[in-house]
Amino acid sequence: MSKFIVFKSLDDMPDIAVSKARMDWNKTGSWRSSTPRREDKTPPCNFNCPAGEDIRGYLDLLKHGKIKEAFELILQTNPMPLVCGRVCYHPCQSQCNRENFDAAIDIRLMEKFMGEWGLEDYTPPGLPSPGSKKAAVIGAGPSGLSAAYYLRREGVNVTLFDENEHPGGILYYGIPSYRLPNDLLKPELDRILQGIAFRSRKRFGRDFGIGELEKYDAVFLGTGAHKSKVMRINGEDLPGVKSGLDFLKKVNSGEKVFLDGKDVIVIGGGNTACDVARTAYRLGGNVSMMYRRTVAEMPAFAEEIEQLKSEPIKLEFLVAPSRIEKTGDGKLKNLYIRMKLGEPDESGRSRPVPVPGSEFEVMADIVFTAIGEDPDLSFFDSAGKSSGDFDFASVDKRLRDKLFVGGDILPNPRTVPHAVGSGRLAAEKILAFFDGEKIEQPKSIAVVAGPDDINLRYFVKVNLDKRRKNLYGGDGVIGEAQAIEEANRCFSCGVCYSCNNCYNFCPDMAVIKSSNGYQINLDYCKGCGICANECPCGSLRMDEAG
Amino acid sequence: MIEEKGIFSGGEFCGHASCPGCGEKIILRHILDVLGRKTIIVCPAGCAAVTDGIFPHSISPVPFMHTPFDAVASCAAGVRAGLEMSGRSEVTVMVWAGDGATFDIGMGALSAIAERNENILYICYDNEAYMNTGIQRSSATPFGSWTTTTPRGRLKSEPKKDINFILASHKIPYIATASPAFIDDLREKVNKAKEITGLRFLHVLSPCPPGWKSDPKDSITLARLAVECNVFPLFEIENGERIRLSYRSQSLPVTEYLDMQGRFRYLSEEETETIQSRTDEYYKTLNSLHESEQPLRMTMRKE
Ligand SMILES: Cc1cc2nc3c(=O)[nH]c(=O)nc-3n(C[C@H](O)[C@H](O)[C@H](O)COP(=O)(O)OP(=O)(O)OC[C@H]3O[C@@H](n4cnc5c(N)ncnc54)[C@H](O)[C@@H]3O)c2cc1C
Ligand code: SF4
Ligand code: SF4
Ligand code: SF4
Repeated sequence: MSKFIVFKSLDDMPDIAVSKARMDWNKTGSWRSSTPRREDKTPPCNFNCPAGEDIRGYLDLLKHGKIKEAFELILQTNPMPLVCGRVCYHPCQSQCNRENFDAAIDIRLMEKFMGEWGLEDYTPPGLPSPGSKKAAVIGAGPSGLSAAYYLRREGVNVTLFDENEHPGGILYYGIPSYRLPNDLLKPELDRILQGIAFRSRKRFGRDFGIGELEKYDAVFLGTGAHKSKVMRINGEDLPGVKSGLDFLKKVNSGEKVFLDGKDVIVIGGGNTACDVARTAYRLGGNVSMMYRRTVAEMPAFAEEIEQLKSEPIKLEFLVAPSRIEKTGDGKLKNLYIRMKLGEPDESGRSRPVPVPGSEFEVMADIVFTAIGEDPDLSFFDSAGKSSGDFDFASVDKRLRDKLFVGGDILPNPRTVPHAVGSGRLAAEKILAFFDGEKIEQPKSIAVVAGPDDINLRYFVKVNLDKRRKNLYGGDGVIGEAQAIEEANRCFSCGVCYSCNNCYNFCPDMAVIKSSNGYQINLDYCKGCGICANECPCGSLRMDEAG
Repeated sequence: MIEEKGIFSGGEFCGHASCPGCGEKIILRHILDVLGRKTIIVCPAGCAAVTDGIFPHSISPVPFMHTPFDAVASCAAGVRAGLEMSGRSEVTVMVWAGDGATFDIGMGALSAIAERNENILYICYDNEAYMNTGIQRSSATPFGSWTTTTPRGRLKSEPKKDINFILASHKIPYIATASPAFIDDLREKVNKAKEITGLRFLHVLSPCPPGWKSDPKDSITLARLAVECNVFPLFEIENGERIRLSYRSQSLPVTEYLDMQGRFRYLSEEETETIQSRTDEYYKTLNSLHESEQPLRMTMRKE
């Protein structure tokens, strides 16, 4: 640092005018009337990911060709990118800030690419040897797998119980193979299960009980929602009337089911109903789907509905079953009544009300019901509530204090990423519990970066046709080069991506690159505002208060 | 993670007296970063001469010689000759002059060193008027601009002097235009010029918030729009013959650039249209020179 030089006499002065020192004694920061502040915001993709993935973060690594690092960043919050790349409904992507500029980043495809890369090219680092703490995880669906995985990574001794032969829960037994083939699922599950003791065909409440859980320091319960809701109509116990979910489980277990030329009715409008209808069609059935509201109220994912519509499945809206009868020739006579939409119910959707005198008849060989599933908590004597928040008070004292729950048991939206996220959160709670702490669910105070935070001058629109060919030309299978190209389109909404603009454009050298990223040297910053204005992603902001 | 590199470290460039958002200082720091320590700056009267420091202080990390307004080119030639005499030809002599010294007052001496092809890197930071003396028009001030000497009602009616083609007719080895918004391009051109022997001329647009009556935060945006609207196209001329566009602009309407600056506030619609059509024409000419790949030949009078 130079000091201000004052010549005391003529002798002090040099013979010619020559500088003796620098100017850094001149703290030009005093000129400032507004101040640049670093204010990283939450990218909307990250904000909307139920599993809590740092999407922007892994795209940034992918941009720079750091695929392994990108994959490991995903694994920090989601152990199953391949599964999610295939079946997650991607709320991240529908909120992508790039959507209105040219096209959203195809995050789903990126995730699928990463998942596939992980199967082929990734060797997980060795696990810590299991410590003294023991945890039991009941249910090997996505929530249980996620809880088990994050506990095992931290050195907890984990035993995972499931009543089925294969792990995966709905992933294995529910979601049909044309959406998620089990031979792709298996290797991803194998990676997750490393170091975890998996006990198959062990049903809690039948093969073991609360007594057996005493030797565990914590228990995670992720048994999902498998009890099909009843319709409460006459004839629903007839032999030809079956649970849609059980049908899917049968097909996915490899049992041969023949529906050739059979008339099949599927009742419901959710994901299960869609999968049942599409599976029945693939097995040769003439399928009709009956839903009591309209397509706009269908709880199934939009994508799923699109696919459904593209298949020769007959869709009947605004109809509700009122009775099923067996006819002499072994067929099922179904009585329906037409509905119209009334006032909204507690879910916010319009309540269907019957139209008097509109009954009609449809004949079928088989009827699949898929009007929703409830958690089956009959293993607790006091039979916990089947809807609403999990009722810890109803659980046996011996278990209550060390019990954690996740997945479809909770009143969350029932999706794979929600299950994964709740499983990981439960693992974090369990680890804190082992340390004698308690994690409260953090209140969301995120400032989400919107489209206005992006300086679009720094981004070039892509040629959409070229992109389409490049990304989707090979049936949705992409290579490294294409993945990197797509990742390169990411705006990095609200988070500094070291573009250097603030550093390059500051007239006063007041932006310093340090190991903590880009920092403002307020001794010299004159507050011109260039840095914040030229930050492409809205990570800097001018604070007018100075 | 990120490393501080180049010749500036520890606040070496900090504390100068340029206005907030000054383009000149953004440009200078990158030029010096590319040229390195073996450089002597020769600088005439102008913003750069009064803002680098208060005697006996200077932000310059290399020798910085102040010269009279009209004599910068001659002084630089003298410095060059002195270096050659003492066997230090590896040192770059760099002129750092504003548009006043370049386009107007020092034009004669500049033409002289160009004609002699002196081994000098002459860089003009063009803020398009005499700014530090109070915004008087220069021959670099664009058509239709307000200055204190071309006030409202008497806006500048002459077009900006086309300095690059004047110098091209001297057949010097390298001429380039640059903008601080395109920092990689700017740095590349400085680097290229550094390696060439003879007179090299770089013409860099330098946004000036007080003179342009623009928001300091917009200096880089304006430097970018000047290029994207073709008001200040980026190109190179080699040996006074071969012209290459260095960047394909988006050819945005000039109003995007003009509307952000108070100095263009008094333009009539007609004048704006004149600017648009002249801009289009100039860019078209540059483009055809770029594409034809033919050398630019002056029509010589037959003896
Ligand atoms: C047909 C269908 C399609 C779906 N499609 C999608 C989709 O495309 N995308 C999406 O995001 N979501 C989809 N979902 C929702 C998603 O599958 C669930 O939200 C998710 O699987 C819930 O995970 P979970 O771990 O809570 O439970 P589950 O996946 O249901 O796993 C629970 C596990 O616990 C076991 N279990 C149950 N009771 C016991 C017991 N007493 N003892 C031992 N083990 C027990 C079960 O066998 C099962 O393996 C679909 C659901 C269904 C039914
Ligand atoms: S542009 Fe990138 S950071 Fe922004 S929402 Fe889309 S994927 Fe996320
Ligand atoms: S560009 Fe530099 S001087 Fe201007 S506000 Fe940012 S840090 Fe301050
Ligand atoms: S301008 Fe670039 S380097 Fe600076 S904060 Fe913004 S993203 Fe980071």
